[in-house]
Amino acid sequence: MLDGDKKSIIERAISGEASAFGLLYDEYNERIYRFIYLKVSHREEAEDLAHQVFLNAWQNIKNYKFQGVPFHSWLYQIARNQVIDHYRTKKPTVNIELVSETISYSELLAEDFDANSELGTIKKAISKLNQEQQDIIIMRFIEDLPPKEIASVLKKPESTVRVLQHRAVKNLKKILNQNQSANKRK
Amino acid sequence: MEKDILKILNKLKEIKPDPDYAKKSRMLILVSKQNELKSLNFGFKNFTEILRFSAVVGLAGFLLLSLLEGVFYVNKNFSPLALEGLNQKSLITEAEGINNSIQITLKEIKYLDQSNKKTINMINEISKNEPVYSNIPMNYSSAEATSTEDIENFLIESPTSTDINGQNINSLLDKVAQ
Repeated sequence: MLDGDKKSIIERAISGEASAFGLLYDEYNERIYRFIYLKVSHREEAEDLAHQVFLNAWQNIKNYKFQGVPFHSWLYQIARNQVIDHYRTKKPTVNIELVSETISYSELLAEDFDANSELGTIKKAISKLNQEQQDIIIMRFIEDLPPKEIASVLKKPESTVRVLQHRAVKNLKKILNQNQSANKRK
Repeated sequence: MEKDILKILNKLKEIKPDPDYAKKSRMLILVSKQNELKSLNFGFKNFTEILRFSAVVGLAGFLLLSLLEGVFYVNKNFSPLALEGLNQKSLITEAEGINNSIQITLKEIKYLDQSNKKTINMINEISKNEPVYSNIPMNYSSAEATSTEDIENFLIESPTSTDINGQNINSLLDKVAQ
């Protein structure tokens, strides 16, 4: 939708046109939400963080420049920082009384389903990787970003990203194999 | 195995946000920015007015301050109370100083008067009872201790220039000198 006149939409958004930013939101919301959700593994937290990412992007869109990184890479950068901040400020304790209120029945069912399916297994395996490897797996194999753009998000050389990608895939395989052998034992 | 992983990873694209959440979030984000822009425009429209108002307030404040400073300066430098001659504190200090010096002078006068009286009395007594040179030891050979001229002058002025034995004072003086 945005491919032809993406630049002009971004320019309009930078000049303060809300409807233009609305188009950008529609275009990138799913991807940013998915990126965050796979990292935090909690629907509500992912929604809050994704909302915060787009709010920050809207309020600071004047700081975005075409030279440098593509717009979606800029959004991934904001999302990544948001998740890092989230883990930094997250309290380690959980109120048990509130758990029953916050987790709905349908969500529990969905989680059970995930746990038994391939998707659930791979989601768990991704969550066992370190933050950097998670970012690479999600951006490269789920969001199909080229290594160059991943490099701009992670602020690392492209060659380093390729090495990290190889390592991330290797680790993911290892984790999945371990899970498979553990399931066979059961 | 790797191909299987990639296939499964591709399936994760099915993860999507709740449409209600997306709608609400979108609306909230766009409304928040529109409000900010509105307030910004309002600020720009009234910028000149705010500038004018702040300039008036600033000028008034400056005038008030300069007026107060002027009053303070005049009060400090030209007030009759500020003249040195009428300064109560300095007057009191000065008066105390004068009073102290007067007291010191009076004490000195009193002391000198008393010592004068004592000296006169002593001279009178000495001149009545004993010869003036009686205090001078006979074996005192040094002529430098008391000059003969002094003694002579004293005896000449003294009402009793002769001793009890009727000896001439001048002959005694010669002896002392020797």
